[in-house]
This record gives sequence, C-alpha cells and structure tokens, in this order.
Amino acid sequence: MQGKALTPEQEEELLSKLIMADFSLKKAQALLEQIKEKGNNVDVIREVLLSEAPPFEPLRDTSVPSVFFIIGVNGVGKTTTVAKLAHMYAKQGKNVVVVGADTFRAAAQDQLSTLVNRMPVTYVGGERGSDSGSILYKALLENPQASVFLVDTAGRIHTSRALIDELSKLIKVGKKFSEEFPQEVLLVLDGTQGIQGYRQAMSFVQGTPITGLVLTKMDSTAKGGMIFSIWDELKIPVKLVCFGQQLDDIDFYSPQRVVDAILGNNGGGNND
Amino acid sequence: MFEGLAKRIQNVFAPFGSKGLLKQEDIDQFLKDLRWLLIEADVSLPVVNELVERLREKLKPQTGIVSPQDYLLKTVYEELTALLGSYRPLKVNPRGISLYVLAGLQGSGKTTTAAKLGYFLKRNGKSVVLGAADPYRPAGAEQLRVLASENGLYFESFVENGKVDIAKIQSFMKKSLHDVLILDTAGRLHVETDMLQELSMINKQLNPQEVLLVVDAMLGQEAANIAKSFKEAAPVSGVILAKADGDELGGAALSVAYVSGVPILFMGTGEHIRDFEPFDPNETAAMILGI
Ligand SMILES: Nc1nc2c(ncn2[C@@H]2O[C@H](COP(=O)(O)OP(=O)(O)OP(=O)(O)O)[C@@H](O)[C@H]2O)c(=O)[nH]1
Ligand SMILES: Nc1nc2c(ncn2[C@@H]2O[C@H](COP(=O)(O)OP(=O)(O)OP(=O)(O)O)[C@@H](O)[C@H]2O)c(=O)[nH]1
Ligand SMILES: [K+]
Ligand SMILES: [Mg+2]
Ligand SMILES: [Mg+2]
Repeated sequence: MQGKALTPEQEEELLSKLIMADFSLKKAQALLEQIKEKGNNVDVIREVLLSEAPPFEPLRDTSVPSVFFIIGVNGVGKTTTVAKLAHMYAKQGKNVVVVGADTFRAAAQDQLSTLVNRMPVTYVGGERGSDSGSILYKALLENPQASVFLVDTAGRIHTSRALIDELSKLIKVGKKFSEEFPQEVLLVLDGTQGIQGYRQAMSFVQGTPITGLVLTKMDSTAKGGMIFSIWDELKIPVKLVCFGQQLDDIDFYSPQRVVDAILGNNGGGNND
Repeated sequence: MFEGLAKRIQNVFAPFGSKGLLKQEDIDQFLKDLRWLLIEADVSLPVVNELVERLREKLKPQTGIVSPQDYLLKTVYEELTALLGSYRPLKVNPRGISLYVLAGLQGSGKTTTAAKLGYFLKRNGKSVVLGAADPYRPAGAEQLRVLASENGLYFESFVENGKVDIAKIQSFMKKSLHDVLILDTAGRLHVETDMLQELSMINKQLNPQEVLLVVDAMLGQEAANIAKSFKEAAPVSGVILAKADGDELGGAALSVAYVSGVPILFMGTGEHIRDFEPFDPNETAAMILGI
C-alpha cells in the first residue's frame, strides 16, 4: 500500500485537521512525518493513526470486591460517570456501592444520591465539609457483600498540590483494607477541554496512580486527540467514552471509533 | 491566567531587538513564529489564522526605526486590545430589576459563577436574587439555593414541572423590589439545537440586560465553535471566564473573545465565592506582551 507524495496544501490540511482534533502540535507534526514517508492515502493515514492510538483495555473489575476511584478537574463529568457505571453494573446484577466522597461542592451529595436513588444500589455519603476518608472507610467497613465500590471525588484543579495530596490520602484509606485496592483510578477528561487534558494527566500522575481515562462530552464536536500524547508519554489507556447526560450514554473505548471520528468517517459521535 | 503565554511570547519578539530595520522576510518570520506560539497556546486554529492574516496586513517593512521590536509589540498590542474589547460595567435597567442570564456548556461553571457574581454585586450595594432556571441537572436548584443562603443572597426557583416557568419570572420581575436577578440556566452543548432553541426563547421573552456566556478557561479547540453557536442562539453581550486558575495560557479566552466579538467582563479564579474579579483587557494585553 503506497500512496502519492503530499502536496504542501495537503500537508497543511492534514496538520490542521489533527490540531483541530486536539492533537498536540508536536504529535501532529510527528504523525505528519510518518504519513509523508508512507504516502498520501486514506488507508495509510488511518493505519498510522490506529497504530499510534491507545489500545483498548477492559476495566479491572474481576476481583470481588473492586474499588474504583473517579477523579478529575472541576465539572468534567465525574459524578455523572459514577452514576453511569453504577447503572451499568447494577444491570449486570452486581452488588454496587456508590460512595459520595465529594464533601466539598454545594449539593454534590444531593446530585449523586438523586442520580442513583432509583437504582438497586447502596449509597454511602456524608455531610458537606465532613472528612471524605471517613465516608470511604465507613462504606468499605459496612458493605462486605459488595462486588464493586464506585467512589466519586471532589473536583480539583491539577495544579493544586494540596488537593492532589488529599486524593492520595483517600487512596490510602482503601489500601488499609486491601493492597489490591483501588483496582481502578479513572481520570475523567472533558473532551471539550482538548489538549488541556494532556496537561491534567501529566500533573495528576505525580502522586496519583492513574489506571485509565474516561473521555466525556464526546457528543460535542470534540475528537479527543490528546489521548495519543497521553498514551505516548504515560502509557495510560482510555477505558470509557461518554457521549451525553443520560445513564446509557457511556461505552467502552474503541480505537477504531475514535480514529474514524477524527478522520470524519462518521457523524463524529461515538454513539453508533 | 496568561502567564504562560506571556513567558513564551518574549521569545518571538526577542530576535527583532535593535536591528534598526525590519524587512518583509523579518515580518514573515515573526508571523510564522507567532502562529506556532498561538497554536501551542490552545487558541483555536481558525482564530490563529485570522489573527495572523490581520497582522500581516498591518505590518509593513520599516527602515531607520529605532526598535523594530517596539514596532511589532505596539502593533500586536493594538490588535490584542481590539480583540479583548474594553472594560465596561454591567448594563442596568433604569426602570426596574436588572436581569442577567448566564448560559454555557455543561459543567462550565454557571451555577458557581451566578453565586460569585451575585456576591460581587451585593458587595457593591445591590440587592441580588439568584434564580434557578435549570430543570435538568440533578439537584441543580439545590446547589444554587445552598450557595445563595451561605452568601446572604436571595433565592427563587423558576423551575416548574420540569420546565423553566417564564411567566413566573416575568411576574416576579414586575413585583420585585430587588436590584438584580441572576438567572442560572441549564448547561447545553453548542450542537444541541433544541437546547439552544430553548435558550433563544428564554431570551426573547425576557429581554435581559445581559446574556453572559460562562466559558471554561480550559477549553481546547472547541472554544471557537462554542462561541459561534451561542452567539447565534442568543444575544450574548459578555463573557465570563471560569476556572481561569486551571489555565495559564489563555488560548480559549482569546478564541472566545475573538469569535463572539463581545468583551470578557469577569474571571473566576477558584472555587471560593471571592475567587472572582473584573477583567481588564488593557492590563491583560500589556501583561501578555510584558509592556
Ligand atoms: N453533554 C454531556 N454532558 C455531560 C456528559 N457527562 C457529564 N455531563 C454534564 O456535565 C455537567 C457536569 O457533570 P458532573 O458529573 O457534575 O461533573 P463533575 O466532574 O462531577 O463536577 P464537579 O464535581 O463539580 O467537579 C453536568 O451537567 C452533566 O450532566 C457527557 O458525556 N455529555
Ligand atoms: N477551580 C475552579 N473551579 C470552579 C470555578 N468556577 C466553577 N468551578 C467548579 O466547577 C465545577 C462546575 O461548576 P458548576 O457551577 O456546577 O457548573 P455549571 O456550569 O453550573 O454545571 P451544569 O449546571 O451541570 O451545566 C464545580 O466543581 C465548581 O466548584 C473556578 O473559577 N475555578
Ligand atoms: K465526537
Ligand atoms: Mg461531582
Ligand atoms: Mg449549574
């Protein structure tokens, strides 16, 4: 499979496409070099992107119980993602415990309890301003029957060291119960924030053992190009993609679908 | 915010120190460097391209000038201040309560900003009501109610049967003796046409003094699309940048200001009620350019 050489206009067009899909400039230029070597051909471009995309990795939910932390900057969709995962596992008949460990934001507890109150799940929360570690401790202690604990955490800006440290304290509470905890620390990245998500991941990994990414708000026109740079530098896989505010608007990540959306081979949505 | 951009932009101007003359090829090199810099600062690509073209038209080769660097700085400064608009206070309704509608993407910071803006206006002597008009977000009204009561602001819910009750807002405004009503609307994406339609209806029927687009300072390439779609759906009159503490480059700010054509009026710099300040475009432009 050998393509034609790219004209300067085609080069510019491809570079623009990648930058507008939130690839870093560095990554976009590196991909362009690879494509130039192999020639201009839609199959070549797709193949190059696929070979560089983070691979699919399933959620680590096989040990019972499993503990998942959902973390990220403010407003990216953590609480909604927790509700979606609770819904998904409850439908599979699992014994789900939802832990409201955001004791900071006004009505964070009401938001999460409202979202899950019609589901057959156990909700453990606490007062605003109370210690989030104690809530988690209580949840783990009082629910030996659980198969999965989904822990919602307060939003925090990635450059705020104090808040990142607080997160590691919370993770330590889990470790008191089992060295295996937490099975997943999922960093939620808002698709509309684009390449900023790369900077967030680079900051959060310093002190937080991130195991996977959740890409949200992909019902926008965002394409999620930053996951390529995160994979290059940190080898953090993407696990889930969210594309709406309803409980079913979540799916496992698929490299093919992300690449197709970048190249504009579908409506740009992941909800096919 | 903008500190990162300020730091990097110095390098683009540096090579043009005191050469005494500025050739067309210098200008081309300068624009090329500036273009990469703006792309790396997360300014939306179409905005970068337009900005660079506008500068290309303005910049002319110079002979015998003392400092080509000053010439470049001055031209970019003018362009930046034009782009960022100039500072103005919020419009006030001379005949009654002033209505400010907050709109924006899901999670952009609207509810928090409603409380911060209310608190800011209260400290300036206004009697402020926070009005809940988000029927969709679970506990969205409760969030606003808690923020109002913690900060000594009045609260009123305009959500009835899962809808925004426009008539209730109208009659509230007719009777109210307060100075300001800040309406916190639901988050919506720039591609949700029915939701944009709803926003458009609210504004047509209420005719607010200000429609303020609350944008996340951490937005990526989407920033330009967002500004464009909201501007088309509603008479956006100003921008409030939330979560400016999460971004040091200011790319989204430049994109949104450029595409919306309305000024950035305030900036949120943290989660606390006082983490909020008026935005000064001239000061910001000078800071970015280090002058
Ligand atoms: N369109 C769209 N909206 C989403 C998606 N995920 C979450 N949202 C919305 O984004 C807003 C913020 O979501 P939350 O789940 O509260 O975000 P969070 O990260 O928990 O926020 P904080 O706890 O305040 O940091 C809500 O209005 C959600 O309904 C998505 O995939 N698509
Ligand atoms: N660090 C920081 N966080 C902010 C700022 N403004 C808002 N937030 C946080 O961002 C998150 C989302 O804010 P909300 O006010 O709930 O956003 P919203 O636009 O009302 O969200 P929806 O109603 O779901 O669309 C919350 O965790 C806020 O505390 C800010 O200036 N800085
Ligand atoms: K998409
Ligand atoms: Mg939350
Ligand atoms: Mg809100």
